[in-house]
Formats: sequence, C-alpha cells, structure tokens
Amino acid sequence: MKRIGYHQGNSDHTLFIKRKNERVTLLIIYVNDMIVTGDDVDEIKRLQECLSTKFEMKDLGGLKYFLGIEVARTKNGIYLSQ
Amino acid sequence: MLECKPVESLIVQNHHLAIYPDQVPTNKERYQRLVGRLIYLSHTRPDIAYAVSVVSQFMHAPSEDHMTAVMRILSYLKGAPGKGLTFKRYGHMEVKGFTDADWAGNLTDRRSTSGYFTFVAGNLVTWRSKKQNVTARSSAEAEYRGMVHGICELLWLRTLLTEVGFEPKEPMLLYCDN
Repeated sequence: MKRIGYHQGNSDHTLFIKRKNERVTLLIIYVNDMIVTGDDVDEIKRLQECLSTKFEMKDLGGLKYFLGIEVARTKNGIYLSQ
Repeated sequence: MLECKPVESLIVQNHHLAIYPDQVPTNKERYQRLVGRLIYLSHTRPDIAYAVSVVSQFMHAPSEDHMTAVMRILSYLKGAPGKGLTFKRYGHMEVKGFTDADWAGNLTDRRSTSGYFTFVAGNLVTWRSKKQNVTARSSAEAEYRGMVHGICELLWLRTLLTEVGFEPKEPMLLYCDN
C-alpha cells in the first residue's frame, strides 16, 4: 500500500488514504471485506488492479451490503439499515 | 416473539434494573446472544442505544427481570422495524456534538449514565450511551464527564475529517445540558 502512495490513517488503522491532485481515494478494510471509495475514478481503478495482482478478489460493484448492513441509494440520499 | 404486541417505549421510565442478591436467574447463553445482536443492531439504530446499554450491564448475571427488559426492546423493534439512517446533502460541512447525562442512574453503584451524538454536515454519524466509570458526586460532575466523551468524539472526528481532506473550517460546536 505504501509503495503505491497510500498511508494508514491515524484516526482509524483500517483506513488507507491517498490524496493526489486535490482528489482522495480511500480503502477501508474489515478482515476480508473492503470498501474502496473516493472522487478519483482513475485511481480507484488503479488500486483495484494493483490489489487484484496480489490477492484473489471479487468486485461486487456499488456498495449494497457491508458486514450485514444494507446500503441503499435513493433520491433522498443514502440509507443505512439492517 | 413473532406474535408479540408492539410497545411504544423501549424501557420503563425510572426502571430499577440492577443485580439483586435474590434475583431469579435466566438462561444466560440466550440473554448474551440476544443482547449481542441488539448491540450490533444499535450500529444503525441510535434510538435503541440507551436501552441496549442498560441491558448489556447484566451480561454476567442476567435475571428474569433483565430478560423482560430485553423482550421489551424486541417488542419495540417489532413496532418500528426496518428503520435506519439517511445521509444526504444539506449544503454545509458543520460538525456538532450533543451530550446529556443522568445522575446516579445506576442503583447498585450510584454511577451516572451519559450519552452523546454527533452530526457531520447535518447527518447523524456517531452516538453512544454509556455508564460512566467514576461515581459523579454532583449532576454537574456527571454532565462534565459526559461532555468529555462528547469532546473526545468531536476531536476524533476532526482528525478523521482532516485525514480525508475535509478539515472543519468553523469551530465544532458542543451542545450540553446543565
């Protein structure tokens, strides 16, 4: 992670951050589940490609479920429920 | 539980839940399993935070009365299922915290319970209800101890927001009760 420009967050050790050209990319990990987010679409793609060369991974697309919590996107915002 | 009647409130007001020497023990494994699930549910249900913090104080020696309190939470959930949190754009990036405390709410050790919740950009993001770890000798002390937890959370939020490139521009506000 360090080699490709990420640093471990101080506020949360499971959060990895890369800031480049006013854009941010975030990777948050819980054991074997992770979320990649940010406003740098190219960097997100690069990160996914880099990680998949090191680990066997599955891209589940836009966030729908994480650790039993449902994430729904509606016109009124993002809704979290279980 | 599937056929239970929904209740309006999560927990009885001025409840006397405590560990009594003559209490009737309940099935401990079942109690711990249920409360464990309620704790996980409280990650997306701020409304149950206080009630869950109360029942989780009796994990090591649960009684029939404690189990009744758990069942009441389940009955409440039955009347308000599927609730969650909405995150939306409010057009600002304010960070706010709110705290409150009771005084000597726990009958056994006279410790107070305090709670806080924080808003980032108008959205509720973190909250907690917790029995304090020191016996406060006045309601003001209980409130101050509660504010400390609220402030710690705000400072952590500031660190996190700064790390991800959203350092709060305005001072973060803490609202308390006295």
